[in-house]
Amino acid sequence: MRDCVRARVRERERMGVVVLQVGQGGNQFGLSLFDALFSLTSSLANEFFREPRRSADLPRARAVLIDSEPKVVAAVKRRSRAMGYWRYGPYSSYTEDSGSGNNWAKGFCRLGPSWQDALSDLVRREVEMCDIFDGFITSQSLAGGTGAGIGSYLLEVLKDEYPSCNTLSHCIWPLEGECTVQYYNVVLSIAHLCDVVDGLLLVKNETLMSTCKKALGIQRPSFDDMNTVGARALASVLVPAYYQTKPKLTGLLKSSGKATTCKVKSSDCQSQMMSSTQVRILSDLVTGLCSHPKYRMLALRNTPQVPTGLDNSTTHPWKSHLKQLKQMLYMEPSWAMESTSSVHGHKCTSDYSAFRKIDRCVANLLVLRGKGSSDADVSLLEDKALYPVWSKDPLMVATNTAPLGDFHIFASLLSNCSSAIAPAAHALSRARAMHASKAYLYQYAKHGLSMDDFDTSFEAIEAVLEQYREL
Amino acid sequence: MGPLSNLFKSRQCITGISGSGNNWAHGHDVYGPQYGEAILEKIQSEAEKCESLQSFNILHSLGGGTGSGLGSYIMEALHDNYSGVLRISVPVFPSKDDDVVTSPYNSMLAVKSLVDHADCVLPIENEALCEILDKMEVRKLRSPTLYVPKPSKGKKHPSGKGFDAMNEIVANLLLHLTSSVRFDGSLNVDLNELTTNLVPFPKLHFLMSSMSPALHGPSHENAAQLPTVNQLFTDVILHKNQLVKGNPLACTYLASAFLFRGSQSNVSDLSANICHLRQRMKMVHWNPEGFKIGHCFRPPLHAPQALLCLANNTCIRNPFKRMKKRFEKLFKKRVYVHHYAEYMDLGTFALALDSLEDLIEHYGEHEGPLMLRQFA
Repeated sequence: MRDCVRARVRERERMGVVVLQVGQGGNQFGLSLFDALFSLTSSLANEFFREPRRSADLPRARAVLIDSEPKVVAAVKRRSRAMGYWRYGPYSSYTEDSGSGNNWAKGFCRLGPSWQDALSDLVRREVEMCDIFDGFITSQSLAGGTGAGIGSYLLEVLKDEYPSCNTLSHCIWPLEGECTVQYYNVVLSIAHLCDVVDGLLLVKNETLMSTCKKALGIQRPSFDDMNTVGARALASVLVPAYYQTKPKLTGLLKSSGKATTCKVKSSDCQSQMMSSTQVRILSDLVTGLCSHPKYRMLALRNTPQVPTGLDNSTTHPWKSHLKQLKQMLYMEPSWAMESTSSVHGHKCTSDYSAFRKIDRCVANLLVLRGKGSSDADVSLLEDKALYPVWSKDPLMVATNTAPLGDFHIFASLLSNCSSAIAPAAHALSRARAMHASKAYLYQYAKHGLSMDDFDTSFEAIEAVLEQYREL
Repeated sequence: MGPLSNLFKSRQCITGISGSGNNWAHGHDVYGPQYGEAILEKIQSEAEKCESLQSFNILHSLGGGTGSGLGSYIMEALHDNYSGVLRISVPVFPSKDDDVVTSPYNSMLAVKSLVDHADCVLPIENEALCEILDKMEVRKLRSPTLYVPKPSKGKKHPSGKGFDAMNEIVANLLLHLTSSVRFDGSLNVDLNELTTNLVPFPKLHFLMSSMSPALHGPSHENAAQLPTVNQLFTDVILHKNQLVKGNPLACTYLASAFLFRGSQSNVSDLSANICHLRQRMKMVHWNPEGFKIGHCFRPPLHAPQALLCLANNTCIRNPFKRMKKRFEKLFKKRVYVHHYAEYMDLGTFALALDSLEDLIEHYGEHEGPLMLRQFA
């Protein structure tokens, strides 16, 4: 192996991303995420796991688990041990027994500050175990008080303590009717997170549920089913992949700092590593997708939802998948990820562009996994109609010839796009209606949040919506 | 002295000798100050044993003197001394055939204290409990394995039902309410979350509660008779299953919570049922999606799954209106008032009446015309 490759492999093995799981939803999703990260790649994703102190022990997830009551974290740790492939660290969690009462203000204004020192220490301990620290991924629900409130506070603190690190926030958008005050909590969270995280990936529980029902045939999906789908989608952009060296991507590669000039000659893994630059997970995601301070909202689409066998009957197996992803960008925003078309021989002949609004994107990261991925024709997604004129080199493409678990072929599209913020418009109108009636405000005022604080958050969300409307 | 006597130590008990004479003022203004310090000491010694004290649950009747009067005093003292801890009251509202003649006065005075000092109140009416038991007895004729508590040998309600059977329903309510605090689930709901979600304005904290099944359902051998999760949702909003007489479907919901126990159903079942129920429920205009879902994996004893509905609904005005009417009938002629004048200023009655009228009016402000569901 050449020295430069050896160096890159060593660097990859020493790089670490710390996942912060906050609240019930965040911890439940985090468990599924680590499970996906572990099982969907043939090599150990060392960015997310570290070697245990004793070699006989299982690898440890690079995670910090936080909740305002102990049952969920205990259950999540128990389940990881029961799975038997990896574990959470024994000292990687912080719980109390107070609950946050679904009250964002209680989480943000009271519990967050009082837990700050303990949480900072816990996070620092985990960060120091990364030789090269790439940043944070948070897993949190926006509906309640812990994931939303304490999560938002923690991210503000971490922004101060680690000013140059990258942060991607995976935010679970609640089902309708999950929690009465969820629109307040959602609006307050997004308004605060926009200022402190690099990328905000909103994932709707409704979308995951619909995917389970329509694409996977699960008639009555549980949270576990939904989390499995969501975790696979997120893991598909986090496990190793390699940039394709194309001239127009040179600018981007320079920003990563490790460009090579060799062309891809074969699909052999080592050759792939020799010739291409690996996606540096958070650094590249946020630098490539979220470099504009006013555009930080991300949406994730992928296909297929069900593992398919190798299809040797067609010479262009990637064409239909890419067409499907493009179709998703042309559908109504709420239809993202709900496509049920099967992969083989499906007739995606309708061009919806004449009838539907295009989901305009600031930038896209396309990740293709499977045989022939590096040769796939991605011109469908280079369509100028998708992007504003000022966006230079908006499409990043990364590939890996290795399959993704049982999926011989898998395509993910992580987009900085207007559909990502679309749910916030509905939440904002509901929150404003409640606010105008002064409903529940005394609950938030008890913990130090005033009506003006709400107004500030409303304006912040309105500003983000306006930015994306102008795309 | 009963079968559960080992659960209680004598140091947890305070008893007097002579009773309050079914007089709220005696309970509040005599026994309150007399025993208040001792009561608070005992509360403190129990509270200190809790790692994280979440709430005080006060179980009392409003018709008499002790539960009503002394209960009010204790509520106020808890508010002063433990302001950060939830105060949840489960009071029995007197019914029209209550055998305590002064119950209209006692309940009116106690309600003011509940308005001012409780965080959340789950009223119970014995009439409603009796009707639930009646219906279970009718069902038992059709399904002999259905469990229905036997009337106790002790004191009975005027309807002939044993209080033990009625109390069992209330006990189930409390068990269900705290199930998520005690056991795992996919959507845990603790008591703080309930109050945050269900109480949009500080004084409007009186909740209608209903359960399905209210008591143990058919035995497991008759699997075909076990209600489905859809049936539980349909049943729980019906007026016949409410623990206070009233028809929430005819009035406006400010917010509601559906707490499910059992592992046979999951969030998609609960969510689908909420979607169906919404079509039938009149939601207040500023909170058309005012639902809270809870899911605890552990079912209750003797039933594979159960559902509790807590609703902040404007139909709670009806028991208050009845209470006001009974009070005014008695107070108009100043009957028995002199017993209260012995211990308290009679202006307290006027304050209590004002408080009740405000409450009725405030709930009335949110009673709206039928709101058509707005599709996004």
